[in-house]
Amino acid sequence: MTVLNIQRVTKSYKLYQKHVLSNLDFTLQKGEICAFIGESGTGKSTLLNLIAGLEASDSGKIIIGGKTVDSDGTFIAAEDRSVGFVFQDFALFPHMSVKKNVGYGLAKTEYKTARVSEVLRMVELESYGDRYPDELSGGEQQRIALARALAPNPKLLLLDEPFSNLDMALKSQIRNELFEIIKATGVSCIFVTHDANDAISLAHKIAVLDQGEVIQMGTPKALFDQPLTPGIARFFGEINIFNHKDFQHFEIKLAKADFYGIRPEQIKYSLKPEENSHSVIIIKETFHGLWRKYRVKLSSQIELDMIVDAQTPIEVKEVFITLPLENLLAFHKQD
Amino acid sequence: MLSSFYHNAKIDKKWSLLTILIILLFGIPLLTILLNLFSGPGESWEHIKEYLLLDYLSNSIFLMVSCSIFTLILGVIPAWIVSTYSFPFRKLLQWLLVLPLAFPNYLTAYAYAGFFDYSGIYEQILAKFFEVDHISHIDVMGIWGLACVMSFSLYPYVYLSARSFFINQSQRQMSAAKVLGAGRFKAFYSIALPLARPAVVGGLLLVVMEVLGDYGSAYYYGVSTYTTAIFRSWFSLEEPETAVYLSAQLCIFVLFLIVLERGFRGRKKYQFNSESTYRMIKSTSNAYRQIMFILIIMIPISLGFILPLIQMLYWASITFVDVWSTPFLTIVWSSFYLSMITALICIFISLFLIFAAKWSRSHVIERLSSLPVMGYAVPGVVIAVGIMIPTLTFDKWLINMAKDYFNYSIEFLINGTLIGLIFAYVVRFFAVAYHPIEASIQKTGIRFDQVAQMMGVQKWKRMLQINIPLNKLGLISGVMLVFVETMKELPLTLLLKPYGIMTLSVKAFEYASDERIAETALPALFIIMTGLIPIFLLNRMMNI
Repeated sequence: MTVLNIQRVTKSYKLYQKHVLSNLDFTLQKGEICAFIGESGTGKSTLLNLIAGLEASDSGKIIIGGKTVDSDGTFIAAEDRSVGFVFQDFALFPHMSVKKNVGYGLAKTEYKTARVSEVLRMVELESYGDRYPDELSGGEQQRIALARALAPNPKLLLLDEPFSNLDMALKSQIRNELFEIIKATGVSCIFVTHDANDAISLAHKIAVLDQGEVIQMGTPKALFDQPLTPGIARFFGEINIFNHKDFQHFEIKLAKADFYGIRPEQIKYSLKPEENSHSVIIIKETFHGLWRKYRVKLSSQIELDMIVDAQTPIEVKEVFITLPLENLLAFHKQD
Repeated sequence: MLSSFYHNAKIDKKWSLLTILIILLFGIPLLTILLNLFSGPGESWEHIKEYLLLDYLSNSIFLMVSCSIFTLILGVIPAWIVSTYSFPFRKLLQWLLVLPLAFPNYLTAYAYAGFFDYSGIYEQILAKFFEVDHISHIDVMGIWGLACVMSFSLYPYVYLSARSFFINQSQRQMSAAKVLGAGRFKAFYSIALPLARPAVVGGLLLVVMEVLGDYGSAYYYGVSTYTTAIFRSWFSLEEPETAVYLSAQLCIFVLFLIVLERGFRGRKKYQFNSESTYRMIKSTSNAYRQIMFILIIMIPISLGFILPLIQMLYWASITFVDVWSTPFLTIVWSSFYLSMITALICIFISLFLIFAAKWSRSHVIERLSSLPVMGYAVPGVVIAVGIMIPTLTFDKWLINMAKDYFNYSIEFLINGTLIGLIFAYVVRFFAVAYHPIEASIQKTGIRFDQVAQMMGVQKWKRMLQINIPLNKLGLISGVMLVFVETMKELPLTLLLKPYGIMTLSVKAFEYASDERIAETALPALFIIMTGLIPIFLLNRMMNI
């Protein structure tokens, strides 16, 4: 069942004199979790605001749960859309206790107290009901913000950069806990992030936004294995990019492409020449804890980065590298 | 354009129209004045033009220029000292520097007139303690005296804006100047002062507006200015057309000054990124310097606060028995409730306009919603004239309607009533409430409102449970500031107050006009005392 359907939505701000979102199409099924990734200013947060009803689109149509909420002749205000939103800074009401925060969006019924307890139990903070937001740690605030958004049983949950306010140590712990809760509720969810790790580990599908357009969408594995552009490939980790001319040196028969890429950890090396291997000179070494990065130079003056296990450092100046065909990525120039 | 507005489903018509309605209501006085510019002046205009206009013009310009120079000196130097150097009593002194704001400038003017009067405190001290036989009399009752006393009371506007800039200015520019060999003094006039220019000019603009809008001081010192001319045309010559004509000219001049200030600022960027902005390190100074700094700072404090306060307390001590009475307490009560009602209405409208503009979902409406702040730039007398004319027409129309259609006789509804007076106060002081509330909402952010909105909570509930509690400090500041400004207001009140209603400011003016200047002290002290509350608040907010 389709929970969200976005059809050719466009949004621009006069100040910037360009489209922040341009003819964007997107659908989300029930229970699906989708991550929108992209650089700053690509329209990720604007998209969430449009879905939530905090802003209106210039053109196009947004349908939530089969009901048109934003089109040329319709606009349903945010309060009537049944969408939950977890803001980047959590936006917990500082003058209300945790219980009041969580129950704020619930109608005054006999079930209100029970529902508040239920969602607090869900985020494992049941005993925190009487505390105030400033008495909570960053991670606890995050979970309360999630509990508050989930309490009214929204059709759709939106999270804006949910982990950017947490430090690295807390982030990895909270990240999985939080999404276990979301998955358990079965609510459809969209989150925006600029961290590829968040997207890969948490989402069912990832949409890459660039200049207001979805330039690629698919499962995390599909995007990692077959990125459409060097930019998308870089988003998921370091990559060596070289053009067709550079590549002729390797004498590998490949479909013609404008650029090729290979990730540093996928380059294989040996101390002696092997079939299809090439001699390279190590020009720089950097230590990164679990791994070492080597900058190597081919006789054709091309420079590549290569990553090896930190336990097996290379102690010679010259090694032989091979580029496994199955790991090579081919890119075509985008219009 | 109207059609596209009407057919746009994404714009909330209800909130948009209500916002526009309020903006139009605020625009009535200004539009009236500007439209009357085209209908021409009255008969006496030729006489005024030939014999008096030059005087009005030259006096007003002289006061503007001289007050700007004096307040610049009295404001910028202490601001630089307190924000750059550390010395004993610095915190106390920087608080005391703001105190003259509690004095409306007409009260400072009365105090100085009394202080230097024949057998005033000044001459008594010289005769008693220094046994001077022949005392040369200092006559402050002229245009130079007026320029000085107004500057003593108005310099805090320049001081506050300059200090706020110096406190927050980037240390990096000053450090760069220092490593290039510039001493503190050179760094001050070559780096800090040019960078502070927009802030200082902003403060000066407020000074100029106060000078142009002043009536009480100029009238008492016998200096003819544009504002006194407006009063004279209305009351002495009984020619409203000329009063409106002069008001329009004054109004255009003030608007021109605002545009000039904006243009002057141009596209130059004077602000720093918050990341690169941090407080300047206060350098410790030697004892001689410390004493010098304290003495320099005590000059504006003494001139603007201590000296007039001594005069007022002296007068209060000799007139208390005569002035303190039940009618006087009635006046205190009238001032209190008028100011409080004005403050609450200003707060309500500020909140309404800020949020209605957001709820309208229209960028045009959002931009228009701050237009009513323009009222603060317009002199009180101009607003009063601008309200008198349309409300008179409206009331007459209403009376005729009631008589013709319902055969019912009614009184004036707005003109010459409390409604008209409060409406004028609200137009004049709306900006005073709007700015702290807007700043508070900007600081708090609208995220909280959005969160509540996403939970399906209705607007009125969000307002009561989220927006008002979260912005209560801004709201309280707004109430306090409007309350005090209304208490101090004179020219507008003089023109619009209903018969039988008296305020402290008008009472003080009446005493002064009747040459019973000592009796001004008690109403003055009430106004000053209420004025001290927001100053205390302001200082707390500025983190001193």
